[in-house]
Amino acid sequence: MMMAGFVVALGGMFCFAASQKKQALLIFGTSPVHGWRRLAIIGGTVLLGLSAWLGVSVYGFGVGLVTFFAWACFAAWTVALTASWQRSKK
Amino acid sequence: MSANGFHGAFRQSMAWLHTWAGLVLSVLLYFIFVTGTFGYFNAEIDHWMQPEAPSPKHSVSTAAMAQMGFDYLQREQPDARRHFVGLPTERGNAIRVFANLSEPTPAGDTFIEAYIDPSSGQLVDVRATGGGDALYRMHYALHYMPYEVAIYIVGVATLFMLLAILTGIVVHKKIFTDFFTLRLRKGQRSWLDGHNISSVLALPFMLMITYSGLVFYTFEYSPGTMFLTMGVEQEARDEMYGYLYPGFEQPKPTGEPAVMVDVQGPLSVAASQWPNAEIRFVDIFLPGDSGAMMRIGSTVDGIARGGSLLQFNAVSGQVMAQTPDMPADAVFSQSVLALHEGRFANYGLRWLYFISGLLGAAMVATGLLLWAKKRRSSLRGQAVPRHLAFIERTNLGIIVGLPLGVMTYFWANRILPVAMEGRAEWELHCLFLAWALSFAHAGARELRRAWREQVALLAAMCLLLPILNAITTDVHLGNTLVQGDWVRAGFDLTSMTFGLLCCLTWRYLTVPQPRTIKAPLTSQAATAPKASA
Repeated sequence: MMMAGFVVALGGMFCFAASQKKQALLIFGTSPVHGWRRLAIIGGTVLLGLSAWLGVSVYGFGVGLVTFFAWACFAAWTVALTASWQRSKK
Repeated sequence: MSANGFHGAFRQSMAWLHTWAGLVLSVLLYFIFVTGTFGYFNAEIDHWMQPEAPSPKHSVSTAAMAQMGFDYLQREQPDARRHFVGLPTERGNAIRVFANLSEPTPAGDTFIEAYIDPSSGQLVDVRATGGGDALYRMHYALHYMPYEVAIYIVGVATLFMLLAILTGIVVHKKIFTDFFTLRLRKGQRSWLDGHNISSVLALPFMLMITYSGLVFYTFEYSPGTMFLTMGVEQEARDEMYGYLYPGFEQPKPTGEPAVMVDVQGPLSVAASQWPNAEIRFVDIFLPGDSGAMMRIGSTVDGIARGGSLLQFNAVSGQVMAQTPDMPADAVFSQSVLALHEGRFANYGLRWLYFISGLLGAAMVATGLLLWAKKRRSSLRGQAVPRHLAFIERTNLGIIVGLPLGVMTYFWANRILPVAMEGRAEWELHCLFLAWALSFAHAGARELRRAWREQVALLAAMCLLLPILNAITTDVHLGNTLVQGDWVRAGFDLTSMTFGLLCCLTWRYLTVPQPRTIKAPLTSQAATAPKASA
């Protein structure tokens, strides 16, 4: 479950990165159009919400919330490192 | 003043505050982050540093292990005031027995402590070591100084840290735009990105750990609040502590001898009450007396600092009391402290705590390097001033020197003779000696060369630690992996991983870095040097 919650949070963070022109160009190679940017933000929010729900439902409210914040932080780190790695290849 | 002018001046003031609040006590903050981070694995480090302690595999029941402990205590110290048996849990493998003596021994000891192997029932003679607890304790009590002084020094540093974090949020104008931005091999800009990303992406952790660090010593840091509300008399303070942390009544001796109840019954009651937790200890007060009480404690379940407790009559086995409820204010403060300590964390979350702690250390380290880089780049070919040269060398001593000291601590655990007098204390002396040597080396060598040499040494110490372990003990990777002793195997593998990361850092240091920055930096970089010049 630890991995599943992290993967969902990672999906959310990738969506947020995809909504930013600079990051989207780096990670996906294309810049998102306006409609897709909005969709990416909504998708990111939904996925992060789902990750929070997963954490709370498995570990209880307190520990679940702490676990969710940890997933979100490390998901954001993973996205940042992926973007950095992609930048170094260009 | 225009709105922009006001905002500009405000942000510049905050940048000044951010720079100096972070810089002034940075050595201490880095020390606190590094040693405190090891605290998340204090029990695991203890296990590695005591190779004589048993490995985790056994099929002995909880009741049998508790009985094993009480049999030993009854045999060795039948007249003790208290018999305590700590049981193996997910994070510890030996049975820890402890007795409070009625009278001090000829050597002046007021208690005895021993470890028993649950598989064989034999005493385990573990080596004297500071273990993970010594590292953990140093992050709030420091070393070589009185505890009462150390907690105030750490408190001031923590306050500066909180100030630096809050002003950092104000200063970082593009906090969302640059949220995922990490540009490597871009000189000063890379350090700025590294500093931003290590702090912003772990911001909930940084805020929590700093704020909760201050809550630990609320009454010491802010004694006026307590004195004004409760008065200065000791009775008033005792009353307040009694209200905040209600405990069990202490049993009173009757002087009549009695046979203690079989521990199996109370353990079954406790196990049925706590289906999601393990039994952590069984504690008998006044053993052998008809007024004896037995307390059984569980591991932590939920955001809490300690587990649940059940109190039994140790003669009849009847349940007398359960964990008393705390008032809401105490629940809040205990929850905040529990978040800081992370005792409730499973291994997955514990690793995330550990990495977050390392990010905290990285945040301080990149801040230090960025400060020096900015000043060096503003020299534009002029001679390096003495104070900057001093700080650059000190940075090396701080950033690489402390991990070198910690690795020396682990090496000393394996190299120092097991029977050495004051062995645990000498392990810590080795840590500080190595750290001091790192400063001396940084001062004596050309800076870039010194960086490469110290990082190479750190890499070698990390990579060779499992080999030293294999030479000096039989709990090396070849055995621990086969036996499923993941705690010791994990320690060795983590050390090797750090060694590989140090190799990558060393490789990075051998490649020439860009000297100039073509594009302007972010707003933070643009404002900070001006403000702090």
